[in-house]
Amino acid sequence: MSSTEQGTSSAAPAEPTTAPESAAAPEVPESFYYVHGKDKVVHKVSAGALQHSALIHGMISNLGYTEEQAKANPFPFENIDGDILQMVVDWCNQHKGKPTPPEDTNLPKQKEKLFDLVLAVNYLEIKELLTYCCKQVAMMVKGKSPEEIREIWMIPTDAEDEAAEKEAKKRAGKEAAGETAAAAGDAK
Amino acid sequence: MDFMDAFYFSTLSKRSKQLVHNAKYSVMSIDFMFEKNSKNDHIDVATDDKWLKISLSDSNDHSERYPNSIDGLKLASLINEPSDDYRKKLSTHLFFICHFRDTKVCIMRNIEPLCDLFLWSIQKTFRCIFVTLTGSISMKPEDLQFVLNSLESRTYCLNFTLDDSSNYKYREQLGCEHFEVSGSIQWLDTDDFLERNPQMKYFTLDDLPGKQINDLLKQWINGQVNGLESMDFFNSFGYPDEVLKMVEQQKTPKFGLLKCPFALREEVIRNMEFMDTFHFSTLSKRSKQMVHKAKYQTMFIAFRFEEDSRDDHIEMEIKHGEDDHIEMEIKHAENLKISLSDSNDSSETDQKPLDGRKLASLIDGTSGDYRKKLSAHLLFIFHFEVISVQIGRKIENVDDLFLWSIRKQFDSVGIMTQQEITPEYLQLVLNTAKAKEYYLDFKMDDLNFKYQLKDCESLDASGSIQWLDMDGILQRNPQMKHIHLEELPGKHINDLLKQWINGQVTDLENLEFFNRRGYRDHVILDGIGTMKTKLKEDQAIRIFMYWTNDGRKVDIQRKIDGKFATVHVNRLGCYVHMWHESELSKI
Repeated sequence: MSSTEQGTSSAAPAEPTTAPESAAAPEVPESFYYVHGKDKVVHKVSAGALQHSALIHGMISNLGYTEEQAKANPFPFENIDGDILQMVVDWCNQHKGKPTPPEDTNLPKQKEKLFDLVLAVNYLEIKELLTYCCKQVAMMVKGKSPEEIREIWMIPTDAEDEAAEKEAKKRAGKEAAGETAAAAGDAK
Repeated sequence: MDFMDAFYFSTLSKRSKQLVHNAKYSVMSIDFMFEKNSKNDHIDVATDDKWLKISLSDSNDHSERYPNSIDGLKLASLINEPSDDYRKKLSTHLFFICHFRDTKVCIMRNIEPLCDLFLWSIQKTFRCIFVTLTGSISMKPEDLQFVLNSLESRTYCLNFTLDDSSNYKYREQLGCEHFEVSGSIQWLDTDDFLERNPQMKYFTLDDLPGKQINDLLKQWINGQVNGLESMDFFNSFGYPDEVLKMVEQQKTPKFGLLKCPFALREEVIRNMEFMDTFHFSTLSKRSKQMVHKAKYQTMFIAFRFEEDSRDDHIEMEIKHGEDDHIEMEIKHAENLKISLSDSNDSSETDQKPLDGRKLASLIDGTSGDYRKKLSAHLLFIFHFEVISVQIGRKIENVDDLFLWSIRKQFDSVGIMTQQEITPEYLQLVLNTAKAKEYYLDFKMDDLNFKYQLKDCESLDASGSIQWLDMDGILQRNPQMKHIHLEELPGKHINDLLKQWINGQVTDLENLEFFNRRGYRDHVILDGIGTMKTKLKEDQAIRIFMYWTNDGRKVDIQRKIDGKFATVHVNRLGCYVHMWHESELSKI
């Protein structure tokens, strides 16, 4: 389960599941954490769902936050667009506590968002989703000719690579010269 | 109140009219039907429990009105309002007193002039507008322009032939969510159609040319987010696949792979199809290096020089993914053949290989021999678990074979030919191409030549065998695990067993010898201390491929560490399996 809140978190703590009468031990209420992306929209996500992300799991494993503390301290991911974070959170919720099947129909399919999604998933270290995303990227060039692959993945030619390298060297030289001149000025 | 009662009540006075209006009398729908014959014009009113028809005939003779309809002229006469047109008076009154949840207008004839129809002065917004002109009636462009521009509707269903259809194009925003066109279609400008109509949810167009469908699909693929849910196109002749093919070429958006971190790029490459990866590696020095570093996994590559040089080829088995389950690996295995013919002619082969010349031409760089360029590229970019070379003929100038300039160390080397091999040829190959495994099956007439094989782990030799120097073979090949030899004389086997019994610890696991005439066990075991085998029948069957009830079965023991070997000699051959006493319970 998840909820999305604009600006600040206001989600009520999850109601603990009522244990069936015959159950031996009561279920431990699930803990929730809060994340937000570039758009500051806060997403409430269960610790179970967040286990997919090695990065976040590492961050929360020793925190021991109460619900209130978690609400007050959402994890900021300023480098991830809000809609992308929403996709990732949705996926984590759908796969909470279960492995990803080889053909996962719940996975995000928006090709135009794939680049941002791949970067976000890589950053958040969500291994299974990353594998799927990488497959999607690989499938973009399936059966294409070399020149089509060049165009789709924007691969420069050797000549373009060399020109860019020369340009970078030239720029680095200029910057180094500028720094030397500035240092000499300071010395005077 | 019943609808008609409410109507009659509203005609009693201004106050009663206002009362009905204020009561927000709700009616399911009102449809204005302008029929082919204006005498049949009428209003359909659907209440929750009734369907009423009110005639709107423009004829003076109202006895010829729409069948089973209430006379609209009579109803209008009850309304105390001045009006030249009873239809307008009645319609205005109905719209004032009732709250219609749904309004439709259906035009089935040319109305002269359409823009002056009484209804538009009362109502210009509808839920649905139908224009259905059949037979010889055609629509005037100015009327169409009026319907689409001056009226508003969530749905347009248009079925007509347009006058002057070759020139007129409608390029403005439609403002509807549901759009259906049949009859004439050429008037509809589909350029930037989705951009002009972002609220469109579904549309159905008949007889739209495939090229325009293709363009609409591209508009959706490349356009902004819109509410479109479905597009349906019908054509009595069907549409060719090209409609989609043209889209497939366009639909892949760009992806800046080089902007991704290194690890991510490599993961993408590892997930690519084999040939896609090859094509990618030919794009630049950087892409070639990227594939190399990604360590793309492949099962094996074999350079096969066949009996006919036109059949020379590279054979590869490609593994997808990292499935641990062996059955999955078999399922995913994919074999690929690339021609390495040294001729422009190709022979008749069972499987058409990929053209090696074409593939090599994609690789940047100069090389006189395309086979060398291609092989070097493949061996650089891919990581093969097993690399082997199989020689199936006597290759001319074998010491100058292109492959040796790229690689001399292999996992396995095979010389398997019906042609006779000279000692010089064998020496050239075995001294150049080093391997852990050798498969050697050829004929050699020279009875004096001896070759001392070194550093081998598995040897399979048949055909002629006398060239193989068996003296000290285990000492020269301490890592030898498996030996399979055919027609080796029994006394050589006896000598080999003695080498093992008296020698140092080696990795030897099993020996197999076959002889058409069979072996004599007393020759093989001459001078060797033997014991009754400790192997039980079921253990032996599991270990030995050729274990039979007949023949002799004994154990021998190595002196240096006490390791055992079971020797089984039967009418087919002689088989030896080495085992340690501690392993016996696990067998």
